[in-house]
Amino acid sequence: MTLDQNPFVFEAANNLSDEMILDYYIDDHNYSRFLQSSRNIFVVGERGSGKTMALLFNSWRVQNLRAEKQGEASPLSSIGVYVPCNTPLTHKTEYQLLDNRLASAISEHFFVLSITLAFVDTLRTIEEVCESSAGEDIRDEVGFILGDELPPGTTVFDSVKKFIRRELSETQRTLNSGDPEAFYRNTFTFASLFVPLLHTFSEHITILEKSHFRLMIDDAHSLNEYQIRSLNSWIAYRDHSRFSFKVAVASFGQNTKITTTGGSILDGHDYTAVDLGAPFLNKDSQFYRLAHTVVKRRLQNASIHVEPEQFFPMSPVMRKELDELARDVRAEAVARYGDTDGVRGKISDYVYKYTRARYFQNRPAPANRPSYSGFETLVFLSTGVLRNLLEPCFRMFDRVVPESTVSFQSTQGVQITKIPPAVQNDEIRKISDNKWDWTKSYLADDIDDCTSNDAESAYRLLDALAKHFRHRLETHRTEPCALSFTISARNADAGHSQKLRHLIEILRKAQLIYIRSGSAKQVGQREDYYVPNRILWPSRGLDPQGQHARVSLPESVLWRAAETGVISLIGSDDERQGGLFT
Amino acid sequence: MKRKLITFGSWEERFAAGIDRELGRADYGYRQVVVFYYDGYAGRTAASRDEVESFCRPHLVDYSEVKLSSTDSVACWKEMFRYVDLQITAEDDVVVDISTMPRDIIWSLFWMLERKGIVINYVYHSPSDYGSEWLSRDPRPPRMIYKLSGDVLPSDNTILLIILGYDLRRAMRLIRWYEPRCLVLGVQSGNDFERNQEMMRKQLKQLGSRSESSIFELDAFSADSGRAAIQAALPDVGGDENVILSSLGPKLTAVSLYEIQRNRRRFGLSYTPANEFSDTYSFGIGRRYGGTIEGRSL
Repeated sequence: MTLDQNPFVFEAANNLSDEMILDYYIDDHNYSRFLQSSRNIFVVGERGSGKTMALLFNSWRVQNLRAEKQGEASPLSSIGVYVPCNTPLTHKTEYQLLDNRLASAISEHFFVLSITLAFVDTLRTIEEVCESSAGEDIRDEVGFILGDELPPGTTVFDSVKKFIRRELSETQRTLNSGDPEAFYRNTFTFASLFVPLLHTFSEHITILEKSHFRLMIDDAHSLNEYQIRSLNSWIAYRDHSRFSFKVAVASFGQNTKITTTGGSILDGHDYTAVDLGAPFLNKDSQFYRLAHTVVKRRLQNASIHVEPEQFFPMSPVMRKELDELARDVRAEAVARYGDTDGVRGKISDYVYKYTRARYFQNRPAPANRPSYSGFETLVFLSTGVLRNLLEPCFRMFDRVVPESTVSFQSTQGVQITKIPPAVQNDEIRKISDNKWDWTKSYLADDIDDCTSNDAESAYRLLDALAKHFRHRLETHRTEPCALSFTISARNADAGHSQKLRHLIEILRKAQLIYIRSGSAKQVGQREDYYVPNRILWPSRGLDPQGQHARVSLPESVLWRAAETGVISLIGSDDERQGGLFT
Repeated sequence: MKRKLITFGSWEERFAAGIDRELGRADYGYRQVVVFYYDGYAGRTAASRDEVESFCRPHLVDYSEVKLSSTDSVACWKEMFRYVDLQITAEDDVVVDISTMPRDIIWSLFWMLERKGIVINYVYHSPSDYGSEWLSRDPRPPRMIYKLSGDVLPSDNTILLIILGYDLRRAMRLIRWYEPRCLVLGVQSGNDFERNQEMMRKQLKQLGSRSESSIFELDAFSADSGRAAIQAALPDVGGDENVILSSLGPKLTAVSLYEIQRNRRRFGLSYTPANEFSDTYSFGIGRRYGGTIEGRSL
């Protein structure tokens, strides 16, 4: 490890080597057990939440490498087949020139060929499987399925691969021919190609007899409407003894659950949905533990043997001030509740709720902003998305390389043992300022279906939320810290309802707002709530830490905020608590 | 033989001025002007289309229009196809004025004409200068061009070649969309427009820092519209890689990319449409460039 190899590289997982995936991926505190099960799983998570990494880690290639390193046998009982969907093949659009029936057939054909190609590509890398696939029976049967005699002198998997590549090529040439409605007649379906091949291999190759194949479909949101329906229809198959689907998607709406027959797949019945979005970020949360393990592993890979909290220390001045404030706040709490054993919990809650609030209340934004530093702050700033955690770490490390205080010279060069709080603060503020600049200037350029007017509305809404949270921090008596909101008084018939939904969707795609699910006020019910990306807050002098209260904001008020940049809650509880928010 | 000039309606000065210039040369012998135009911009282009029609009358040149959908790419393509199929015969002598024509329309129109066995001549009138503010904004998702999407494989890595223009965000949009393993960036050499150098430097700083990227220079205003330079930037690729070509730079590179695609079956063309174009996209009319497409028959 040298210093030009930044341990916090946050390269897209597809660009990492198998070794790096094995080194970087953390198997604990996440949903790997679901991916290794034989159930159909939807992995839902924003860009950077680790979906691709999770799928690749569970692919046969990486699992086999892991087994090798641990001196174990090849994991043939459960074989992960990684199927990327964000490929130029998926982006082809000639199907749109065809009628629905033909468009559906050609779309499924491409998708099935892609899955089968990934399937045989996986099998041909398994030495034991190749050795057991040389019989004439299997070649005859595979030839029958493909409707083509397999060329001699190649393995059965190489032959199938060659066949699929030829089919893909011929199909595309036909579709791109001079006929405006050209259609390739010999289309395959999942049932006519993948399933019979799977059965043939399982029957003829003894070591695959009991294998379960996990078809890991990455970036399924890139698929076209017909391919999504096909996939859902396969998911609705009842028998999953031989194969299952693990589908990674950015979001999961009602329109993505429809099958080719118009039915719907059902959560719990046909599949299990796993949301990689992390609602809780405090030290006891699963995400904090995952973040801690990820950073610790990366530091270790760089031969830096310190805890993440030591590597990203909090500003000692701020720590001291917070400790002093905590003593004052504690004294307040004792004066209010007494100091008996029975109220210890109440006192702790009081100190937790108000200490940091007091600290931030006394620092008007944007001047005299507090120091943003410490590993815990970084975890909160990530808003529960791993890439959001790694990006500031990467920049800080990069910044420190030339500035580092040399603690010792090793044979490998300069060793960095910590990121000074001032550097952390500086980089965090830069990223925060850049995020606002990007929102203001480039949102419309970068996000689908976002016009310049939408981008202006989105900026005004976030700006209004920032002002609202700031005002609340300064004036609210019982719950000053709020960084998330729910939408109340929804009225689907109101004109603004659809516009606000569109705006929230833009903010979600831009990862400026994350949608989480949590318990509602009504017992036993759950509701969606909205968490703006916490990296926005340092620029506005807000505290990104803490779970905090959720503000309930009426739909009409939010839409007005998007139009005017002001959240006005005249006559509301919030107003009574702290005045009119502007 | 009837010589037809197919052009695309715009509010840019060079749209009408270009046709005026073409019709003013009697030896070009135009008998018909066909203006394709987008329904979504019909209001903004109405005055200049009227102006073009008025230019045609004294020259006894037929004038006609073909309205295309600016939002429905399938309907747009089918309408263009219908027009070319029914109204153009192999005997027609066709010149395509690409000056104000969107690149996806240029490529599809070339393909449709080539399909009819027509030798395609093109003409391009550069502007005197471009607007100093934004030129286009709110890009829509990139899309592969119908029938010119190449021959790709899901298991192969993707190389994305972009001829850079003034709009950095559209280039970034392409990169995010295709997530290529390797990026090849083409920049216009020389100093045809004052801010070219500065814009290119800015874009290369942002885009060229990727580990798997390479940069090359081309001259879109040379005799081959930069074709040789583009081909040299893609040596020996296309065997085991998917190659996507996109032009955001000088319009003439759309011609060279088309020619390259027609000779490299595996390569695909992609375009990033925009929702908005500036009223002051360009000013005046500059030099005239023209040529004949070197394609291949379908």
